[in-house]
Amino acid sequence: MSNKKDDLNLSRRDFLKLTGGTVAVGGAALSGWGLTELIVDEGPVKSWHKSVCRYCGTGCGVMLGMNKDKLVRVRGDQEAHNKGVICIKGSMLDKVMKSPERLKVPKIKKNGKLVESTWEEAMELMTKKFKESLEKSGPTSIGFYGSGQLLIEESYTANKLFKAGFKSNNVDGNPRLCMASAAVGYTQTFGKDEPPGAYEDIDHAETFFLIGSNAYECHPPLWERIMLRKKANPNVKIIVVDPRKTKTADHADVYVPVLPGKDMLLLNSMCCVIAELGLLDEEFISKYVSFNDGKKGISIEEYKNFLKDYRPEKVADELGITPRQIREVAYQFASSKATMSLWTMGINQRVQGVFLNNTLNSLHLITGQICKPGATPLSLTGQSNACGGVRDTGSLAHLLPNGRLIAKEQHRNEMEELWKVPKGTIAPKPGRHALAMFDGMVTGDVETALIMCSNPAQSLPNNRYYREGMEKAFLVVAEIFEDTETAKFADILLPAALYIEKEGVYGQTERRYQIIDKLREPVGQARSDFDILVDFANRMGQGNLITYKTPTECWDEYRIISKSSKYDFSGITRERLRKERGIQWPCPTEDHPGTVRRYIKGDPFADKHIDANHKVHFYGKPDGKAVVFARPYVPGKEDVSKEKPLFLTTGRVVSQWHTGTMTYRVPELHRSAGPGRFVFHPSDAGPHGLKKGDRIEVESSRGKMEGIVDISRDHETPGVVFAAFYDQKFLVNNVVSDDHDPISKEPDYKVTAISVKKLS
Amino acid sequence: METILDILAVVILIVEVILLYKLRQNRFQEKLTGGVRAMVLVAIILFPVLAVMLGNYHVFVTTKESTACQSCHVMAPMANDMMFDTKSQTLAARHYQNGWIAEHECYSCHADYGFQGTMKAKLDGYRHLMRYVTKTYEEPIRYRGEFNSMNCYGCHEGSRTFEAVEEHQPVVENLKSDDASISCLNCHGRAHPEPSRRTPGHEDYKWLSNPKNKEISVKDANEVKEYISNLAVSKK
Repeated sequence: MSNKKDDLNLSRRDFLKLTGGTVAVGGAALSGWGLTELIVDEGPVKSWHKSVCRYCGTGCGVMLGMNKDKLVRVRGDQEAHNKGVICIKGSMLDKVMKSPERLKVPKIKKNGKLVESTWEEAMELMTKKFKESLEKSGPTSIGFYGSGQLLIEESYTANKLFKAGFKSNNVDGNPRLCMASAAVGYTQTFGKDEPPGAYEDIDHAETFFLIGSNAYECHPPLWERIMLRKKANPNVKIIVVDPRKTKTADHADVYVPVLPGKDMLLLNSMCCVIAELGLLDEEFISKYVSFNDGKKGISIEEYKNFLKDYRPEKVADELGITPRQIREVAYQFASSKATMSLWTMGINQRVQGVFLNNTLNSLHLITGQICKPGATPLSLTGQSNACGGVRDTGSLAHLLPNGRLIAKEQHRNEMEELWKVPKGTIAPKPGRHALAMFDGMVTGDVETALIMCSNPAQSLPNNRYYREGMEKAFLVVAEIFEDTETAKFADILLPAALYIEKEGVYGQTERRYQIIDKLREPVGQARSDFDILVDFANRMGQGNLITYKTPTECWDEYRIISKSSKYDFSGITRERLRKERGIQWPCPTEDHPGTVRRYIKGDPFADKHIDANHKVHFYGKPDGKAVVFARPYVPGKEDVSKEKPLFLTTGRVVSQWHTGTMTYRVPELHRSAGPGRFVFHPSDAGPHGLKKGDRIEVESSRGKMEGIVDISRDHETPGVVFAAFYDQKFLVNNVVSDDHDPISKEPDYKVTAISVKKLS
Repeated sequence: METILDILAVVILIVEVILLYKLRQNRFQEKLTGGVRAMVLVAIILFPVLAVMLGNYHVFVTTKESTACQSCHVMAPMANDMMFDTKSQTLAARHYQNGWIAEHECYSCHADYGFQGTMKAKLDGYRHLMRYVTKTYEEPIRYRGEFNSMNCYGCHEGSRTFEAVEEHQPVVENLKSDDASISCLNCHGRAHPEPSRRTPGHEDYKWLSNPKNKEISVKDANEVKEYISNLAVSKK
């Protein structure tokens, strides 16, 4: 044994060893941590920015991942109304922004060819041509054709410049082609455009009534929300009414395959069943509803008598369904705890578009399925800023800002005062709506026009006819790509900034305003449409009218103007837009949270009328009562016959948007959609001897065109041929009828009778 | 296998303690006998090496358990949403509560494919741990870098429901390209509660960070029942 003591005290040496060991272990741990911090793959994004999707009217909040001036990632904004969900098109916006095919310099047509020019030369020529037309032929000889994709500041400026500056009411745009019927429908029923409800109602509804809406493909984030609602509540029922067995219809609890053009019969028949079964909400009706036949007020009894012509047994055959189906759907609609109707172009793009919209609103009014969570009519919008940019700014031929009508002297005077122009400046006659504007080009009445952010040479129905007008008129086209169909007709082609190359506000379906910030400079010499309009105004001697120079100044002018209307969004400042995830108007003060549902408590214009006995106040009407219209079914001119045995109906597909100007350039989306084609149900293809890939000639009352055949057993129905319009090599609108609603002037893209001839 | 190794680790630990005690008794010996030398070899070299290996293996395995992720307070909003909020529509909650992932729920989505993916996940886990213990994080925590959508594809590829949706075709094409930019979450939504709800001060934060804090309306008996059953029944 050793004599050493068992000394537990640490010697200096041991202490140093222990300290060294501790430092070594600690150092290793910290170095390891440091290493792990360094090796995390951060991805290509250097900064994230809140924004809004460029495409449809869902108005999804997105987060944009930038690497210097490049958009490298698009993600859904989890804090926005869409809760992080976007669709495949929006997900690939980065690819569109990268496209090398952008138009980068102004061009002027010389000897039939577009040649590169300068902004100075192009703007001077544009000014000269507009001045010549104004001097020679007056204000009605010029026009502005805008878009539901222009920013609010841009549409507002164009509208003000043309109507108050040039005294021309020829201001219209592509929203006329997609939601004019919904706008008129709301206005007639409630006295005010824009919906009473919101997307939030999806989370409370127990019955979804989708009619003329293929939400699965056209509004995927909203469809996802509907499906989540259904999964969360097994009582939820989805009813889909559509002549096509769309992917939306695949998921329906009840699918009602009505024949094209007949659904007015269905809606009236549903009203009839609801009245017969005693499912009318009589208390709601007595307090908040009046009845009208379109000319005068009528009693509820007269309304019930009107409906008797639409008993299910009378109309079922013409609809192509059974009376039992009508009764089932009507009962479900009325008896559900909360029913939400959703519709899009299948209702709006119809010769009876306004009547259909009226009657959809009526279904909610007579059953009391409105103004409560989950119960509302909601027209889904097709374009990103058709609501905010065009409907709300009044950038249509018959409108003035915030729901005012050109035809009303009081409204004109109000705007003249707000715009600080002499009384009588605004012409009293509404201008030319979309089709009339291009028709005016054909007849020579419209000589010079500015087209911005739209592709009418591909999107207008009876396309060949209106192209003649585009050829004749002097057209200034502001475009992002040089190879669009409309660019071919440009006499002056101006390179426009795209999406995050400019700044402005979008307003989507549910009255929600959201800002898009500028995150990079425009490509080449491109300019924002706003800058082009301000420059144009100055050159035309309208600098005293368009006094603002920036989108922010313009927004502040417009925001203050809104204060004198029931649209009042004066509380939606630029600062709030940057901070919040969109705000729904009315929003009269900077501390107001915005209005989810109109006409009830919480709506600043209804609040003072709400008490223990009155829960609703439709303040758009003098008596506070919404109007149920007795709207008859009127057969359209386009119907099948022995000579034209099939219906052609057009629409969108999930991977493409509108005329494909942007989405068809994205390789993945291009391949997914494939070329434009006619899609048949096998039972129609068979008798015509058609198989997939065959070349055919399709003839309608508007002309003939060739195309290839596709066949779908799953998603088409007998008697109906479907074609999408995204492919500029497949201009299906050449044969689509330009019959339009007599009130809204919205064309009927959904019902064209055709014949088919096999070519190969 | 894991149980056997756990038992082995315990046995080694006990033997190690005995060996160290024995060695302590012999620590002042001038000359070490062969037996003591063998004890030194085993107790100072072999067993510690073995213990480190077993320990590492144990950590590797147990940190795959969702309970390991949950053990950090900062992960509570994610875990509670996933496990206890029956009305949650986040992808994590839907996957967990429907039993779509049989085990290792967090790890299954957050580790990339293969050995490299495992190592990456472990290193990132270590980073999380260090951040947590040194309190160098801020709530709401954010995913650093990019979530790998191929982790979703790994499970969903070939499944009937996935293949039936033709809209997945351009997504897969994008994901497999050199210029992949899409995320499965774009169309399918949030994986976890959105950052605002995970921020201290938000009305939901209190309950997300500890479900026992959930305020229950006594008027709704069904909700009370549902809540209690959720608390009482552990998935495992």
